[in-house]
Amino acid sequence: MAVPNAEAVKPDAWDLDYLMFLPLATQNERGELEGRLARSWEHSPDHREYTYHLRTDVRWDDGVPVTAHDVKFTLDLLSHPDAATGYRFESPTVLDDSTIVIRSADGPGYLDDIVYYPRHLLEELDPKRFWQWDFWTHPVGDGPYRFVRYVPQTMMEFEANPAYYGAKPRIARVILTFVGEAGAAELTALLSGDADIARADLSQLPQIASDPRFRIYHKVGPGARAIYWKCDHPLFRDPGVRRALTLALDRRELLQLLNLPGDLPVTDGVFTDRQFRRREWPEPLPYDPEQARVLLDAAGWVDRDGDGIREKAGRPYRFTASVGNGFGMPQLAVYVQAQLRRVGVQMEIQLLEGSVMWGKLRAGDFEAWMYIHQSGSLRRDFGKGNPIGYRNDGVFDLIDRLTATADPHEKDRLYARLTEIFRTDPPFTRLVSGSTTWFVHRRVQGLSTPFRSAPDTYMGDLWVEPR
Amino acid sequence: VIRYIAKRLLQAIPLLLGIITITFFIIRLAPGDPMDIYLEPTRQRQVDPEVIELIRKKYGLDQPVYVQYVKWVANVTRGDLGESYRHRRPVRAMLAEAIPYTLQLTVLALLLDALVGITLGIVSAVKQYSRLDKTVTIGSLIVYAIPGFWLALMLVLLFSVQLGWFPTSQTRSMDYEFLSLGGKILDRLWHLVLPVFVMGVASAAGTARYMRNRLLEVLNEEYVVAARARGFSERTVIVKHAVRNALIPIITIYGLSLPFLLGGATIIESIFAWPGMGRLTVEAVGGRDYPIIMATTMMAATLTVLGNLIADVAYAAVDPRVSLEAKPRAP
Repeated sequence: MAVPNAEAVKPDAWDLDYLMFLPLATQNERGELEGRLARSWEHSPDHREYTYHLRTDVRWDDGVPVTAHDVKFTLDLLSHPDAATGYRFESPTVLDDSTIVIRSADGPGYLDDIVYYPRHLLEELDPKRFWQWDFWTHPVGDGPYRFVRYVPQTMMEFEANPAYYGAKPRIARVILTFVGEAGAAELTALLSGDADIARADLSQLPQIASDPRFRIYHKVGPGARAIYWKCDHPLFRDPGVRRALTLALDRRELLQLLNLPGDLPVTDGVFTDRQFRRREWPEPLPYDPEQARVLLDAAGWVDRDGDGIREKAGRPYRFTASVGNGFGMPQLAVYVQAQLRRVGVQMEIQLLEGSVMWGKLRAGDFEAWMYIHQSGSLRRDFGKGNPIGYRNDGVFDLIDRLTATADPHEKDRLYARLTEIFRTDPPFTRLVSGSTTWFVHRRVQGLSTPFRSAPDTYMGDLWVEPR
Repeated sequence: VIRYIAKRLLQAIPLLLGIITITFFIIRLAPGDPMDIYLEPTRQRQVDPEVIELIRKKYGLDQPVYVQYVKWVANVTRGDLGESYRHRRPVRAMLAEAIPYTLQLTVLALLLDALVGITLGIVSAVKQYSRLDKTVTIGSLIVYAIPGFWLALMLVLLFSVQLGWFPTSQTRSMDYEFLSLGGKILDRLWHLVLPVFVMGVASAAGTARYMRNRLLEVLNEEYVVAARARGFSERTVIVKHAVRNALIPIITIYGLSLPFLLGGATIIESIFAWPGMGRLTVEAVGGRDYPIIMATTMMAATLTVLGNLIADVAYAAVDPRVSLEAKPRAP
């Protein structure tokens, strides 16, 4: 499997830590919690406190039993300011070796994305040197695979863990080959047979799609490639106009043009990961260019001089979209530009790198902002004082209530109400779901789009057919 | 000579300070925030803005830019180049890892450049207007005009993906640690073939053109005519008199290659997943990793100054007409 570098196994963006380490529980394809390190659990009525009962048959690769002290140690470590991980958790309470209480003020305490590390090997180490610990290149875990060897700048090898508490992984050996952050090396590693799995860019889809050796999987979540409208800008102040711009976009056609599978969900609004996994996807506003034209006409934007661009008070409907590089955004922007042109709206494209994009969003320095919408950033994007100039007291209130509750059911309800408001007063338009594309050799089996598409997460459940 | 070198080195200090000062402030004026790595869409979990501020404080990014500058300069004088924001490792350690990889690539590429470029230049000049000269001229112009990244990708597609003769990327094979010493050397060389070829051949084309033109000029000089008149063989005239003199400006070019030797080749290193300085710099610029950008800039500036100095000293050593000492004024 081709990965950027050895840092892929550190606690950061990748899910490769699932190869070697166990979370307490994970969400399945239906959004239900399934126990891993935890055997069972219960929670307080307000969901702010989860009590976990851990399995007692899980051991670290060196034979030491995994206990609640390891869980507490990990959460404290990840929250340590010197470690600079970006995580912050309340310190949990260990009731006994196999029982731990985790409190969380702002969300469910099941932390399905966190894996746990061996306290007995790490507690003496300096958190200031957290990212430099040799442990990350010579890890000792409790997951389906165990570490075999590490060749600097080259590879890391794992083998199926014979002492794993669950079913033994069917793929006996997994090798991570480090190819750097550039996309070309990942693709050539795949094409030459040096790797069976590579994460790649959408621009490489056509080449791989036509190659019978490979299959393509798309990891899809509640986030999406999206376009944010600057709601206090004269061009976007009218909610009817923003709705018209959404109606003018044929999202199914966008999927097709980007070579993405047509059955990826097309939705509007916002939703939780749980709702997404349960396929509780809000119905999208339809593709209805006629209705879009009616709404634009009603707002006074009419093409009076016949040049194909609408005007109002002598000002043409022309704006610049700041477009992030990567995630297929440049190609997507060109197609969105063409679709908006059909209803008399001229969108210019300003291509910018990711780091600049976030600065633009924070400063509100854009007319339209086209990048990745993250479902967990509602307060930042649409809450009080948001940078996109969106004003809706109902939305502000719902977001405040979302922040105040930890109950996942209540969160689902609040998200659904937000989506209802966004149908008539949309601050953004979801374009295309999905954020990660995997190219996988046909012989690797067990993956499927959209919920079991990430080989890094599900490696322990995959198998390989003979060549 | 020692006094000259010492004087030049002293003169270089304000120059280097100026370069790193300008770089320090310019990269901070550029849009983008290094802490945006915590907003990357690929991250699983949203990072609390308060936590980001704590991390910002840890790296001193919450302080005024001039305070950051003074601290950075003070740290550098103590040999502390800081910690990478992205990799969260000491920059010095990262450079120490990357430089050997880059040196393997660039030294071999430079040797290939010199060997092929100078040889073809000499042959082309000696056989001026022959079929061989025309072939070398057209060939070198074509190679010179081909973008390095394109050539690299085409070679990878042909020799790695299609034929499987060479690895697509990386510095060594997965079974490297189980090889004998000889096997290890061969394995490393095997991984170096394509990147060194791309880098070496592209620059050799330029060297060949330069060498040819320079040698043709020298072959018309009076001292060469005189050597011929004295009855030296054509081989002696070319090798001992013409080529040696034609090589003098080439020394300047190679002296100025010093920053390239340690700076690496950004695109080629990225294509071949070569963990050298070039790739490190590209990733740092993209991620606004200020400590790495500053360290690599400082290194490039220092090596450029040193390269100039070495070229000047070498020039004086091989060309008796050039003197490093100030000459007394004519009365």
